[in-house]
Amino acid sequence: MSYPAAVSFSEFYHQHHAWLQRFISRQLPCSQTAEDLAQDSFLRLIARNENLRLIDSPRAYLSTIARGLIANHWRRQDIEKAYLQTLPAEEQASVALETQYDVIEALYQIDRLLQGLPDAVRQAFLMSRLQGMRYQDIATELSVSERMIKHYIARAMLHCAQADMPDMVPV
Amino acid sequence: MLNPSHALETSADDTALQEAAFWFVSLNDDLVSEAERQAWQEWLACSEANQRAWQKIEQVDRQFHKVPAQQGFQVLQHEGVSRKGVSRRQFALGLGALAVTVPWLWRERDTLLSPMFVPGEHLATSRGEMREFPLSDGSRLWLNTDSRVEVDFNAQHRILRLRRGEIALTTGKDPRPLKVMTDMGDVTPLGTVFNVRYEEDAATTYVSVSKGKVAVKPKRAEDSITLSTQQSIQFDTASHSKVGRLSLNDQAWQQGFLVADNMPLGEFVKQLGRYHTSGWLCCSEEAQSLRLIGRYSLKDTVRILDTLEHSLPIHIRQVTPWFTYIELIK
Repeated sequence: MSYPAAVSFSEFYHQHHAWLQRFISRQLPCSQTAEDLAQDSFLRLIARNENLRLIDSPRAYLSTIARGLIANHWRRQDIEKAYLQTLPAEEQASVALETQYDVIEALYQIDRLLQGLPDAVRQAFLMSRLQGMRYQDIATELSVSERMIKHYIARAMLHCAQADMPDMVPV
Repeated sequence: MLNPSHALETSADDTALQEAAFWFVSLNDDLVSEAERQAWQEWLACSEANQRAWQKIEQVDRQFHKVPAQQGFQVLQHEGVSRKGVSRRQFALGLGALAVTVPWLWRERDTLLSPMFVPGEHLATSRGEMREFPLSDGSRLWLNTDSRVEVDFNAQHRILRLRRGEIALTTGKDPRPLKVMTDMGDVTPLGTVFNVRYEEDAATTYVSVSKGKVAVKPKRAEDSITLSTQQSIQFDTASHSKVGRLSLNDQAWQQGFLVADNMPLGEFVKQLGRYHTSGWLCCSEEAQSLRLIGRYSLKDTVRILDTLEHSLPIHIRQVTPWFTYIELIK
Protein backbone atom coordinates (compact mmCIF):
# COMPACT_ATOMS: atom_id res chain seq x y z
CA MET A 1 0.00 0.00 0.00
CA SER A 2 1.56 3.28 -1.04
CA TYR A 3 1.97 5.95 1.60
CA PRO A 4 -0.51 8.53 0.30
CA ALA A 5 -3.26 5.92 0.21
CA ALA A 6 -2.55 4.89 3.80
CA VAL A 7 -2.75 8.46 4.98
CA SER A 8 -6.00 9.11 3.17
CA PHE A 9 -7.62 6.04 4.71
CA SER A 10 -6.68 7.16 8.17
CA GLU A 11 -8.19 10.58 7.48
CA PHE A 12 -11.24 8.98 5.98
CA TYR A 13 -11.68 6.76 9.01
CA HIS A 14 -11.38 9.63 11.46
CA GLN A 15 -13.77 11.77 9.49
CA HIS A 16 -16.55 9.22 9.39
CA HIS A 17 -16.06 6.56 12.02
CA ALA A 18 -17.88 8.24 14.90
CA TRP A 19 -20.77 9.22 12.66
CA LEU A 20 -21.11 5.68 11.32
CA GLN A 21 -21.12 4.20 14.75
CA ARG A 22 -23.94 6.53 15.82
CA PHE A 23 -25.82 5.64 12.63
CA ILE A 24 -25.58 1.92 13.35
CA SER A 25 -26.39 2.36 17.04
CA ARG A 26 -29.74 3.87 16.15
CA GLN A 27 -30.73 0.50 14.73
CA LEU A 28 -28.71 -1.77 17.00
CA PRO A 29 -28.81 -0.86 20.67
CA CYS A 30 -25.87 -3.08 21.61
CA SER A 31 -22.82 -0.81 21.46
CA GLN A 32 -20.31 -3.64 21.06
CA THR A 33 -22.11 -4.94 18.01
CA ALA A 34 -22.42 -1.44 16.60
CA GLU A 35 -18.68 -1.00 17.03
CA ASP A 36 -17.98 -4.35 15.33
CA LEU A 37 -20.23 -3.59 12.41
CA ALA A 38 -18.75 -0.14 11.98
CA GLN A 39 -15.27 -1.68 11.77
CA ASP A 40 -16.58 -4.29 9.36
CA SER A 41 -18.01 -1.60 7.10
CA PHE A 42 -14.66 0.12 6.81
CA LEU A 43 -12.93 -3.21 6.17
CA ARG A 44 -15.27 -3.91 3.30
CA LEU A 45 -14.58 -0.53 1.86
CA ILE A 46 -10.86 -1.30 1.78
CA ALA A 47 -11.52 -4.74 0.35
CA ARG A 48 -13.25 -3.09 -2.58
CA ASN A 49 -10.06 -1.20 -3.30
CA GLU A 50 -11.81 2.09 -3.93
CA ASN A 51 -9.93 5.29 -4.50
CA LEU A 52 -11.22 7.12 -1.44
CA ARG A 53 -10.67 10.52 -2.97
CA LEU A 54 -13.11 9.73 -5.74
CA ILE A 55 -16.05 8.72 -3.53
CA ASP A 56 -18.79 11.30 -3.96
CA SER A 57 -20.75 10.79 -0.77
CA PRO A 58 -18.73 8.73 1.68
CA ARG A 59 -21.50 8.64 4.26
CA ALA A 60 -24.07 7.41 1.76
CA TYR A 61 -21.64 4.71 0.68
CA LEU A 62 -20.75 3.69 4.22
CA SER A 63 -24.35 3.65 5.37
CA THR A 64 -25.31 1.39 2.45
CA ILE A 65 -22.60 -1.07 3.40
CA ALA A 66 -23.65 -0.79 7.04
CA ARG A 67 -27.31 -1.43 6.24
CA GLY A 68 -26.36 -4.63 4.50
CA LEU A 69 -24.33 -5.74 7.48
CA ILE A 70 -27.14 -4.88 9.88
CA ALA A 71 -29.60 -6.92 7.83
CA ASN A 72 -27.10 -9.82 7.86
CA HIS A 73 -26.75 -9.46 11.61
CA TRP A 74 -30.49 -9.65 12.19
CA ARG A 75 -30.82 -12.56 9.82
CA ARG A 76 -28.07 -14.37 11.69
CA GLN A 77 -29.87 -13.71 14.96
CA ASP A 78 -33.14 -15.00 13.50
CA ILE A 79 -31.38 -18.14 12.32
CA GLU A 80 -29.80 -18.66 15.71
CA LYS A 81 -33.13 -18.24 17.45
CA ALA A 82 -34.94 -20.51 14.99
CA TYR A 83 -32.27 -23.17 15.27
CA LEU A 84 -32.30 -23.18 19.07
CA GLN A 85 -36.07 -23.52 18.97
CA THR A 86 -35.74 -26.72 16.96
CA LEU A 87 -33.65 -28.30 19.72
CA PRO A 88 -35.63 -30.01 22.49
CA ALA A 89 -35.15 -28.26 25.86
CA GLU A 90 -32.60 -30.71 27.25
CA GLU A 91 -30.47 -30.47 24.15
CA GLN A 92 -30.37 -26.70 24.22
CA ALA A 93 -28.27 -26.92 27.35
CA SER A 94 -26.27 -30.03 26.58
CA VAL A 95 -25.23 -29.60 22.93
CA ALA A 96 -21.79 -28.06 23.05
CA LEU A 97 -21.78 -24.36 22.36
CA GLU A 98 -19.05 -24.86 19.81
CA THR A 99 -21.12 -27.39 17.90
CA GLN A 100 -24.10 -25.08 18.05
CA TYR A 101 -21.98 -22.26 16.74
CA ASP A 102 -20.71 -24.36 13.83
CA VAL A 103 -24.21 -25.35 12.82
CA ILE A 104 -25.52 -21.81 13.07
CA GLU A 105 -22.62 -20.56 11.00
CA ALA A 106 -23.25 -23.20 8.34
CA LEU A 107 -26.97 -22.38 8.28
CA TYR A 108 -26.17 -18.73 7.92
CA GLN A 109 -23.80 -19.34 5.00
CA ILE A 110 -26.35 -21.46 3.18
CA ASP A 111 -28.93 -18.76 3.78
CA ARG A 112 -26.63 -16.19 2.19
CA LEU A 113 -26.06 -18.38 -0.83
CA LEU A 114 -29.79 -18.79 -1.30
CA GLN A 115 -30.57 -15.10 -1.06
CA GLY A 116 -32.52 -13.86 -4.04
CA LEU A 117 -34.11 -17.10 -5.11
CA PRO A 118 -37.89 -17.30 -5.39
CA ASP A 119 -39.56 -19.20 -2.58
CA ALA A 120 -40.55 -22.24 -4.62
CA VAL A 121 -37.02 -22.68 -6.00
CA ARG A 122 -35.54 -22.31 -2.53
CA GLN A 123 -37.93 -24.85 -1.05
CA ALA A 124 -37.35 -27.39 -3.81
CA PHE A 125 -33.60 -27.05 -3.43
CA LEU A 126 -33.69 -27.48 0.35
CA MET A 127 -36.04 -30.44 0.13
CA SER A 128 -33.57 -32.10 -2.18
CA ARG A 129 -30.26 -31.20 -0.54
CA LEU A 130 -31.28 -31.18 3.12
CA GLN A 131 -34.09 -33.67 3.32
CA GLY A 132 -32.90 -35.94 0.53
CA MET A 133 -36.35 -36.06 -1.04
CA ARG A 134 -36.79 -37.62 -4.47
CA TYR A 135 -37.61 -35.19 -7.28
CA GLN A 136 -40.98 -36.81 -7.84
CA ASP A 137 -41.91 -36.40 -4.19
CA ILE A 138 -40.83 -32.77 -4.15
CA ALA A 139 -42.94 -32.22 -7.26
CA THR A 140 -45.99 -33.66 -5.54
CA GLU A 141 -45.35 -31.64 -2.38
CA LEU A 142 -45.04 -28.34 -4.28
CA SER A 143 -47.72 -29.11 -6.87
CA VAL A 144 -45.49 -28.65 -9.89
CA SER A 145 -44.07 -31.06 -12.46
CA GLU A 146 -40.96 -33.13 -11.85
CA ARG A 147 -39.43 -31.40 -14.84
CA MET A 148 -39.91 -28.05 -13.14
CA ILE A 149 -38.31 -29.37 -9.96
CA LYS A 150 -35.20 -30.45 -11.86
CA HIS A 151 -35.08 -27.02 -13.43
CA TYR A 152 -35.45 -25.34 -10.04
CA ILE A 153 -32.64 -27.36 -8.50
CA ALA A 154 -30.29 -26.69 -11.42
CA ARG A 155 -31.13 -23.01 -11.20
CA ALA A 156 -30.57 -22.90 -7.42
CA MET A 157 -27.30 -24.76 -7.74
CA LEU A 158 -26.08 -22.34 -10.40
CA HIS A 159 -27.17 -19.36 -8.31
CA CYS A 160 -25.25 -20.64 -5.27
CA ALA A 161 -22.15 -21.58 -7.24
CA GLN A 162 -21.96 -18.04 -8.59
CA ALA A 163 -22.67 -16.22 -5.33
CA ASP A 164 -20.04 -13.91 -3.93
CA MET A 165 -18.87 -14.69 -0.45
CA PRO A 166 -18.23 -11.14 0.83
CA ASP A 167 -17.94 -12.33 4.43
CA MET A 168 -14.50 -13.58 3.60
CA VAL A 169 -12.84 -10.20 4.01
CA PRO A 170 -9.08 -10.43 4.61
CA VAL A 171 -8.34 -9.26 8.13
CA MET B 1 -32.80 -20.62 -19.68
CA LEU B 2 -30.58 -19.54 -16.83
CA ASN B 3 -29.48 -15.96 -16.33
CA PRO B 4 -26.50 -15.79 -13.98
CA SER B 5 -26.60 -12.72 -11.79
CA HIS B 6 -22.81 -12.50 -11.47
CA ALA B 7 -20.58 -12.79 -14.50
CA LEU B 8 -17.70 -15.24 -14.32
CA GLU B 9 -14.29 -14.59 -15.79
CA THR B 10 -14.77 -16.25 -19.14
CA SER B 11 -17.71 -17.44 -21.12
CA ALA B 12 -16.35 -20.98 -21.15
CA ASP B 13 -16.56 -20.99 -17.36
CA ASP B 14 -20.10 -19.69 -17.62
CA THR B 15 -21.19 -22.47 -19.94
CA ALA B 16 -19.35 -25.09 -17.89
CA LEU B 17 -21.10 -23.98 -14.73
CA GLN B 18 -24.54 -24.16 -16.34
CA GLU B 19 -23.76 -27.63 -17.62
CA ALA B 20 -22.33 -28.71 -14.26
CA ALA B 21 -25.55 -27.61 -12.55
CA PHE B 22 -27.61 -29.76 -14.90
CA TRP B 23 -25.23 -32.70 -14.51
CA PHE B 24 -25.60 -32.38 -10.77
CA VAL B 25 -29.36 -32.63 -11.08
CA SER B 26 -29.22 -35.71 -13.26
CA LEU B 27 -26.66 -37.53 -11.11
CA ASN B 28 -28.79 -37.01 -8.02
CA ASP B 29 -31.90 -38.43 -9.57
CA ASP B 30 -33.59 -41.58 -8.37
CA LEU B 31 -32.15 -43.94 -10.92
CA VAL B 32 -29.01 -42.98 -12.78
CA SER B 33 -28.14 -45.20 -15.71
CA GLU B 34 -24.63 -46.39 -16.36
CA ALA B 35 -24.75 -44.59 -19.70
CA GLU B 36 -25.52 -41.28 -18.00
CA ARG B 37 -22.69 -41.73 -15.54
CA GLN B 38 -20.40 -42.50 -18.41
CA ALA B 39 -21.54 -39.38 -20.25
CA TRP B 40 -20.87 -37.29 -17.18
CA GLN B 41 -17.33 -38.70 -16.88
CA GLU B 42 -16.73 -37.82 -20.49
CA TRP B 43 -18.02 -34.29 -19.97
CA LEU B 44 -15.73 -33.94 -16.94
CA ALA B 45 -12.70 -35.15 -18.86
CA CYS B 46 -13.49 -32.76 -21.69
CA SER B 47 -11.89 -29.62 -20.26
CA GLU B 48 -10.40 -27.96 -17.22
CA ALA B 49 -13.24 -25.48 -17.23
CA ASN B 50 -15.65 -28.39 -16.72
CA GLN B 51 -13.57 -29.74 -13.85
CA ARG B 52 -13.40 -26.32 -12.18
CA ALA B 53 -17.13 -25.89 -12.57
CA TRP B 54 -17.81 -29.31 -11.06
CA GLN B 55 -15.62 -28.46 -8.07
CA LYS B 56 -17.65 -25.33 -7.42
CA ILE B 57 -20.85 -27.33 -7.52
CA GLU B 58 -19.44 -29.87 -5.10
CA GLN B 59 -18.29 -27.10 -2.81
CA VAL B 60 -21.84 -25.78 -2.58
CA ASP B 61 -23.21 -29.24 -1.94
CA ARG B 62 -20.74 -29.82 0.87
CA GLN B 63 -22.26 -26.92 2.80
CA PHE B 64 -25.43 -28.94 3.25
CA HIS B 65 -23.61 -31.78 4.96
CA LYS B 66 -22.71 -29.45 7.79
CA VAL B 67 -26.26 -29.00 9.03
CA PRO B 68 -28.83 -31.42 10.49
CA ALA B 69 -31.50 -32.25 7.90
CA GLN B 70 -34.85 -31.61 9.52
CA GLN B 71 -33.82 -28.75 11.77
CA GLY B 72 -31.93 -27.12 8.94
CA PHE B 73 -35.00 -27.23 6.74
CA GLN B 74 -37.21 -25.71 9.42
CA VAL B 75 -34.81 -22.85 9.92
CA LEU B 76 -34.02 -22.13 6.28
CA GLN B 77 -37.24 -22.73 4.43
CA HIS B 78 -38.16 -19.08 4.19
CA GLU B 79 -35.96 -16.20 3.15
CA GLY B 80 -36.80 -14.24 6.26
CA VAL B 81 -37.98 -10.82 7.23
CA SER B 82 -35.94 -7.84 8.32
CA ARG B 83 -37.09 -6.17 11.48
CA LYS B 84 -39.10 -3.59 9.59
CA GLY B 85 -41.04 -6.25 7.71
CA VAL B 86 -39.68 -5.31 4.29
CA SER B 87 -38.26 -7.96 1.99
CA ARG B 88 -34.57 -7.60 1.21
CA ARG B 89 -35.21 -9.07 -2.19
CA GLN B 90 -36.19 -6.78 -5.04
CA PHE B 91 -39.44 -8.03 -6.47
CA ALA B 92 -39.48 -7.70 -10.23
CA LEU B 93 -42.58 -8.29 -12.31
CA GLY B 94 -42.32 -9.18 -15.97
CA LEU B 95 -39.34 -8.29 -18.08
CA GLY B 96 -38.33 -5.22 -16.14
CA ALA B 97 -41.80 -3.73 -16.40
CA LEU B 98 -41.94 -2.81 -12.74
CA ALA B 99 -39.72 -3.30 -9.70
CA VAL B 100 -41.61 -3.22 -6.42
CA THR B 101 -40.58 -4.06 -2.87
CA VAL B 102 -43.41 -5.85 -1.14
CA PRO B 103 -43.81 -7.17 2.37
CA TRP B 104 -42.48 -10.68 2.62
CA LEU B 105 -45.34 -11.69 4.87
CA TRP B 106 -47.76 -12.52 2.06
CA ARG B 107 -45.63 -15.42 0.91
CA GLU B 108 -47.11 -17.80 3.40
CA ARG B 109 -46.09 -21.39 3.01
CA ASP B 110 -49.66 -22.61 3.44
CA THR B 111 -50.78 -20.73 0.38
CA LEU B 112 -48.27 -22.64 -1.71
CA LEU B 113 -48.96 -26.07 -0.39
CA SER B 114 -52.49 -26.55 0.81
CA PRO B 115 -55.29 -27.23 -1.64
CA MET B 116 -56.97 -23.88 -2.08
CA PHE B 117 -60.03 -24.66 -4.07
CA VAL B 118 -63.02 -26.89 -3.74
CA PRO B 119 -62.63 -29.39 -6.58
CA GLY B 120 -65.15 -29.29 -9.42
CA GLU B 121 -64.92 -30.79 -12.86
CA HIS B 122 -61.28 -31.00 -13.97
CA LEU B 123 -60.14 -30.31 -17.48
CA ALA B 124 -56.51 -30.94 -18.30
CA THR B 125 -54.05 -31.12 -21.18
CA SER B 126 -50.71 -32.88 -21.31
CA ARG B 127 -47.47 -31.32 -22.46
CA GLY B 128 -47.64 -30.36 -26.13
CA GLU B 129 -51.42 -30.66 -26.24
CA MET B 130 -53.62 -27.66 -27.12
CA ARG B 131 -57.31 -28.34 -26.99
CA GLU B 132 -60.67 -26.68 -27.08
CA PHE B 133 -63.38 -27.58 -24.59
CA PRO B 134 -66.89 -26.32 -25.21
CA LEU B 135 -68.63 -25.30 -22.00
CA SER B 136 -72.25 -25.73 -21.05
CA ASP B 137 -72.95 -21.99 -21.21
CA GLY B 138 -71.79 -21.71 -24.81
CA SER B 139 -68.35 -20.33 -23.88
CA ARG B 140 -65.37 -21.62 -25.81
CA LEU B 141 -62.50 -22.61 -23.55
CA TRP B 142 -59.04 -23.40 -24.89
CA LEU B 143 -56.40 -25.09 -22.76
CA ASN B 144 -52.79 -24.65 -23.79
CA THR B 145 -49.92 -27.10 -23.20
CA ASP B 146 -49.62 -28.73 -19.77
CA SER B 147 -52.62 -26.98 -18.21
CA ARG B 148 -55.35 -27.71 -15.74
CA VAL B 149 -58.56 -25.91 -14.93
CA GLU B 150 -61.56 -26.67 -12.71
CA VAL B 151 -65.01 -25.83 -13.95
CA ASP B 152 -67.45 -24.82 -11.24
CA PHE B 153 -70.75 -23.91 -12.86
CA ASN B 154 -73.91 -23.87 -10.75
CA ALA B 155 -77.22 -22.03 -10.66
CA GLN B 156 -75.65 -18.87 -9.25
CA HIS B 157 -72.28 -18.54 -10.90
CA ARG B 158 -69.77 -19.72 -13.44
CA ILE B 159 -66.27 -20.08 -12.05
CA LEU B 160 -63.14 -21.37 -13.74
CA ARG B 161 -60.19 -22.06 -11.44
CA LEU B 162 -56.87 -22.01 -13.25
CA ARG B 163 -54.65 -24.46 -11.43
CA ARG B 164 -51.83 -24.71 -13.93
CA GLY B 165 -50.74 -23.36 -17.33
CA GLU B 166 -52.82 -21.20 -19.66
CA ILE B 167 -56.39 -20.78 -20.90
CA ALA B 168 -58.07 -18.68 -23.54
CA LEU B 169 -61.75 -17.97 -23.20
CA THR B 170 -64.44 -16.61 -25.48
CA THR B 171 -67.35 -15.93 -23.21
CA GLY B 172 -70.84 -17.12 -24.02
CA LYS B 173 -74.03 -15.18 -23.43
CA ASP B 174 -75.33 -16.17 -20.03
CA PRO B 175 -76.92 -14.19 -17.18
CA ARG B 176 -74.83 -15.86 -14.46
CA PRO B 177 -71.66 -13.95 -13.46
CA LEU B 178 -68.44 -15.46 -14.83
CA LYS B 179 -65.06 -15.35 -13.14
CA VAL B 180 -61.61 -16.89 -13.64
CA MET B 181 -59.94 -17.49 -10.29
CA THR B 182 -56.22 -18.00 -9.83
CA ASP B 183 -53.95 -18.37 -6.80
CA MET B 184 -53.10 -14.71 -7.07
CA GLY B 185 -56.41 -13.05 -7.78
CA ASP B 186 -59.50 -12.96 -9.93
CA VAL B 187 -60.12 -12.03 -13.53
CA THR B 188 -63.68 -11.00 -14.36
CA PRO B 189 -64.58 -10.76 -18.02
CA LEU B 190 -67.10 -8.27 -19.35
CA GLY B 191 -68.11 -9.90 -22.62
CA THR B 192 -64.72 -10.84 -23.97
CA VAL B 193 -62.11 -12.97 -25.60
CA PHE B 194 -59.10 -13.19 -23.26
CA ASN B 195 -56.14 -15.23 -21.95
CA VAL B 196 -55.02 -16.09 -18.44
CA ARG B 197 -51.64 -17.69 -17.90
CA TYR B 198 -49.87 -18.74 -14.71
CA GLU B 199 -46.12 -18.11 -15.03
CA GLU B 200 -44.36 -20.57 -12.77
CA ASP B 201 -40.91 -19.09 -13.23
CA ALA B 202 -41.77 -15.55 -12.27
CA ALA B 203 -44.57 -16.56 -9.86
CA THR B 204 -47.01 -14.19 -11.56
CA THR B 205 -50.23 -14.48 -13.53
CA TYR B 206 -50.54 -12.97 -17.00
CA VAL B 207 -53.78 -11.74 -18.53
CA SER B 208 -54.42 -10.32 -21.98
CA VAL B 209 -57.60 -9.26 -23.77
CA SER B 210 -58.31 -9.86 -27.45
CA LYS B 211 -61.73 -8.32 -27.49
CA GLY B 212 -63.79 -6.53 -24.85
CA LYS B 213 -62.73 -5.83 -21.26
CA VAL B 214 -61.75 -7.69 -18.12
CA ALA B 215 -61.42 -6.60 -14.50
CA VAL B 216 -58.34 -7.96 -12.76
CA LYS B 217 -58.28 -8.03 -8.99
CA PRO B 218 -55.13 -9.25 -7.22
CA LYS B 219 -56.11 -11.01 -4.03
CA ARG B 220 -54.82 -8.42 -1.60
CA ALA B 221 -55.44 -5.36 -3.69
CA GLU B 222 -58.16 -2.89 -2.81
CA ASP B 223 -59.39 -2.28 -6.35
CA SER B 224 -59.60 -4.00 -9.70
CA ILE B 225 -57.71 -2.88 -12.78
CA THR B 226 -59.64 -2.81 -16.02
CA LEU B 227 -57.98 -4.13 -19.15
CA SER B 228 -59.34 -3.23 -22.58
CA THR B 229 -58.92 -4.75 -26.03
CA GLN B 230 -55.32 -5.51 -27.02
CA GLN B 231 -54.02 -4.91 -23.50
CA SER B 232 -52.11 -7.20 -21.13
CA ILE B 233 -50.93 -7.17 -17.53
CA GLN B 234 -48.97 -9.32 -15.06
CA PHE B 235 -49.90 -9.59 -11.41
CA ASP B 236 -49.45 -11.52 -8.19
CA THR B 237 -51.38 -11.46 -4.93
CA ALA B 238 -50.37 -7.94 -3.98
CA SER B 239 -49.20 -5.98 -6.98
CA HIS B 240 -49.25 -5.66 -10.77
CA SER B 241 -47.13 -4.49 -13.67
CA LYS B 242 -47.87 -1.58 -15.99
CA VAL B 243 -50.51 -2.32 -18.62
CA GLY B 244 -48.84 -3.58 -21.79
CA ARG B 245 -49.82 -4.87 -25.21
CA LEU B 246 -51.26 -8.19 -26.15
CA SER B 247 -48.79 -10.67 -27.60
CA LEU B 248 -49.43 -12.29 -30.98
CA ASN B 249 -48.79 -15.59 -29.31
CA ASP B 250 -51.74 -15.27 -26.98
CA GLN B 251 -54.02 -16.48 -29.77
CA ALA B 252 -51.54 -18.25 -32.04
CA TRP B 253 -51.25 -21.37 -29.91
CA GLN B 254 -54.91 -22.11 -30.47
CA GLN B 255 -54.04 -22.55 -34.14
CA GLY B 256 -50.99 -24.60 -33.15
CA PHE B 257 -48.33 -22.00 -33.86
CA LEU B 258 -45.61 -20.09 -32.06
CA VAL B 259 -45.07 -16.71 -33.65
CA ALA B 260 -41.81 -14.79 -33.51
CA ASP B 261 -41.94 -11.17 -34.52
CA ASN B 262 -38.32 -10.12 -34.13
CA MET B 263 -38.28 -12.07 -30.88
CA PRO B 264 -35.00 -12.71 -29.03
CA LEU B 265 -33.97 -16.36 -29.23
CA GLY B 266 -33.81 -16.56 -25.44
CA GLU B 267 -37.47 -15.69 -25.14
CA PHE B 268 -38.37 -18.01 -28.02
CA VAL B 269 -36.58 -20.95 -26.41
CA LYS B 270 -38.33 -20.24 -23.12
CA GLN B 271 -41.73 -20.32 -24.85
CA LEU B 272 -40.84 -23.35 -26.96
CA GLY B 273 -39.78 -25.19 -23.82
CA ARG B 274 -43.38 -25.21 -22.62
CA TYR B 275 -44.38 -27.38 -25.55
CA HIS B 276 -41.27 -29.53 -25.81
CA THR B 277 -41.99 -33.04 -24.60
CA SER B 278 -38.51 -34.51 -24.46
CA GLY B 279 -36.78 -32.79 -21.57
CA TRP B 280 -35.84 -29.18 -21.35
CA LEU B 281 -34.23 -26.56 -23.52
CA CYS B 282 -31.49 -24.22 -22.42
CA CYS B 283 -30.08 -21.30 -24.39
CA SER B 284 -26.57 -19.94 -23.80
CA GLU B 285 -26.30 -16.32 -22.75
CA GLU B 286 -24.64 -15.19 -25.96
CA ALA B 287 -27.21 -16.85 -28.18
CA GLN B 288 -30.14 -15.33 -26.27
CA SER B 289 -30.10 -12.03 -28.11
CA LEU B 290 -30.26 -13.42 -31.66
CA ARG B 291 -33.52 -12.37 -33.32
CA LEU B 292 -36.14 -14.56 -34.97
CA ILE B 293 -38.98 -13.92 -37.32
CA GLY B 294 -41.44 -16.58 -38.32
CA ARG B 295 -44.44 -18.74 -37.64
CA TYR B 296 -43.53 -22.15 -36.27
CA SER B 297 -45.80 -25.16 -36.06
CA LEU B 298 -45.91 -26.55 -32.56
CA LYS B 299 -46.75 -30.07 -33.74
CA ASP B 300 -43.08 -31.00 -33.80
CA THR B 301 -40.83 -28.96 -31.54
CA VAL B 302 -37.73 -30.95 -32.47
CA ARG B 303 -38.25 -29.96 -36.09
CA ILE B 304 -38.40 -26.32 -35.03
CA LEU B 305 -34.97 -26.72 -33.44
CA ASP B 306 -33.63 -28.19 -36.69
CA THR B 307 -35.05 -25.27 -38.63
CA LEU B 308 -33.42 -22.83 -36.25
CA GLU B 309 -30.07 -24.48 -36.71
CA HIS B 310 -30.31 -23.87 -40.44
CA SER B 311 -31.33 -20.27 -40.24
CA LEU B 312 -29.30 -18.97 -37.27
CA PRO B 313 -25.60 -19.17 -36.39
CA ILE B 314 -26.28 -21.65 -33.62
CA HIS B 315 -25.45 -25.21 -32.74
CA ILE B 316 -27.99 -27.47 -31.03
CA ARG B 317 -26.14 -29.75 -28.65
CA GLN B 318 -27.87 -32.77 -27.17
CA VAL B 319 -25.94 -32.87 -23.89
CA THR B 320 -28.05 -35.75 -22.57
CA PRO B 321 -31.22 -37.24 -24.02
CA TRP B 322 -33.34 -34.86 -21.99
CA PHE B 323 -31.18 -31.75 -22.01
CA THR B 324 -30.80 -29.75 -25.18
CA TYR B 325 -28.35 -26.86 -25.15
CA ILE B 326 -28.44 -24.11 -27.77
CA GLU B 327 -25.24 -22.21 -28.28
CA LEU B 328 -23.64 -19.74 -30.66
CA ILE B 329 -21.33 -21.17 -33.32
CA LYS B 330 -17.87 -19.85 -32.56
